[in-house]
Amino acid sequence: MSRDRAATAVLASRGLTLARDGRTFAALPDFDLPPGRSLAILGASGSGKSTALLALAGIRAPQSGDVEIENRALWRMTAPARDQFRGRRIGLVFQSFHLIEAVSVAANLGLAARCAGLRPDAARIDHLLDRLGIGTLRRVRADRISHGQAQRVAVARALFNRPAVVLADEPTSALDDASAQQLLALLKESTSGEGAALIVATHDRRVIDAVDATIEMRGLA
Amino acid sequence: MSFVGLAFAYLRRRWGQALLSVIVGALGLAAVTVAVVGFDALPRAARNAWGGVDLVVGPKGSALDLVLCCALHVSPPHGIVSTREVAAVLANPMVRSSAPIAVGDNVSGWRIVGTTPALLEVYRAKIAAGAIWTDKLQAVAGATAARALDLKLGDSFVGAHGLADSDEQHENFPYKVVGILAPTGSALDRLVLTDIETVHHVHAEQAKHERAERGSTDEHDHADGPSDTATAVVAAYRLPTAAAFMPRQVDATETLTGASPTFEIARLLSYLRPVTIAATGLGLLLVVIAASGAAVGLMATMNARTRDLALLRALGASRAKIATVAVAEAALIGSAALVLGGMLSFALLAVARDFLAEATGLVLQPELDVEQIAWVLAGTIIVILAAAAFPALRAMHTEIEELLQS
Repeated sequence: MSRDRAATAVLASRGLTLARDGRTFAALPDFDLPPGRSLAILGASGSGKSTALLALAGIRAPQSGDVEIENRALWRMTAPARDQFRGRRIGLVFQSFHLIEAVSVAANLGLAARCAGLRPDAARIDHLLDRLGIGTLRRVRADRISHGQAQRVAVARALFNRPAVVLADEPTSALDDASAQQLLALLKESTSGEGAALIVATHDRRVIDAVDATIEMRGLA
Repeated sequence: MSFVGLAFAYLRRRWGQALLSVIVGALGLAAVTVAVVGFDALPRAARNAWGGVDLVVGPKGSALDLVLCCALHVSPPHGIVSTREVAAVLANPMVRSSAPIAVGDNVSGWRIVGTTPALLEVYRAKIAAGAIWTDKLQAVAGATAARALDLKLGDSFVGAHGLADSDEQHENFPYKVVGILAPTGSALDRLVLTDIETVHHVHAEQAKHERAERGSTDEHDHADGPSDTATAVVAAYRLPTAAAFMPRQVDATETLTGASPTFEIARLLSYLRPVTIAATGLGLLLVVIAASGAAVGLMATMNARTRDLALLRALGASRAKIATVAVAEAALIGSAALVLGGMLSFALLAVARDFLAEATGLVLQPELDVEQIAWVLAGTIIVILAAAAFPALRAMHTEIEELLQS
């Protein structure tokens, strides 16, 4: 990695190894990711992709190594500081979206701000929902929208706090080709439009053509 | 949306269970409040009702009956006494004033009491309009009775025999209202007073009239006693120390009973204390059931909501913030129960007040002091925290990893 690349990278992963039941089982190759760029972490089921994503998100500690986001070492922060940093600078898109069904679409976005200790910005909610083509769903409860709409709400929520990086875990695994391409295009377009980097952990080879770069998990067993 | 808003949204989703917790909690709170506040107010109501009466002297028998009949005016009489005999016993410097009480007639269910002007001294009552009676068949109405019967100075009314409204009216003996008493807050307000001689006169004349109708010539054929008789005599002490001597002095006679309203009502209330304790216990049990129900409900929903809580953690919420959702849910249920319980308490106390006033003349004036309110609030907060503790801990320890990998 050159000095220039490190300086422009929004996320840098260095020497990440992952453990399961106390034994190191996988390693993530080092990489730097500039803003607006996308990367896929590839690997078979059980290879440690999701665990790597947890480490990149500051949720599960790696066996060794660290992750720098905007030049801040994630695993040197205190747990509360890391929680708040994650809320503000890392957007997360889950495989099954995980919207809070008891509240409206807008409230789902607003809660993302509250969780990060920020005040929800109504104009930002309108802007994102309109941009993702779901502006009419603002007041609709999250359990009353379709699968495709939930997908878009999940992306909007991940982008709501203007994160530096968006992490998506197996976003296309349950989708047909057309839907998968549509979601990937949405993720790429919306993250780059917001100036955020995108990392997708997947075993789905369809993702390869849609991202700027790929890396493979390395097994250490 | 805030975390309290989220808690409210969760409650709305399981409104049936939440409503049940609120209702049970409110019932418990109301039961405790009514038992405690009501029992606290009852002696005060009784004390107000017997006014300045320190001693009731009547025929040998139940002291409590005497108090209920002639101090609180809620029960029927049990015999008569000789006013001369009572006067001899009460001729004591410790007695400030005394007056006979002759009950037996009513007007539309309101007692007509034959007495002397000294009764006003016993109660320290004042005439608001008109004057005290100066002749037979003149009446002075208590403030409440005058209002209820719509009696004004100069009005006439006819009494009926007995203590309840009846058809057996003394139609030949209409009373004229010559005075109306100022309110005293005592049983006196509910009475219609007249000269004791009037009561004797009405009954003697009525008996004579009935004998004539039957064709009887026997002068002794009447049910009423001689004119120096009364149902009882009420007295007020000059010195509080008289309470230690006077009832015993009266009881020492062969024919009289001396009853102290203070002592008799305290004794009566002591019999009621187990009922109050039971009601309080039942109320507390309901509160505990409501809190347990809310806690179990919260625990169940926390389990069902593991993914939501993990999501909030993943979005950056601290463990403390997650716990606030559980605490806010319990607090919303508790607050709703507190408000509903408060409203229920006021409604129940109002019903109890009206019922007691109607049935016994006791005017219940429940008072919630700052200390009691503080206790209720503190108790509610403790119950809320207890109900929220386990669900909050459960929420705080939600792990995010399973969520990301599901």
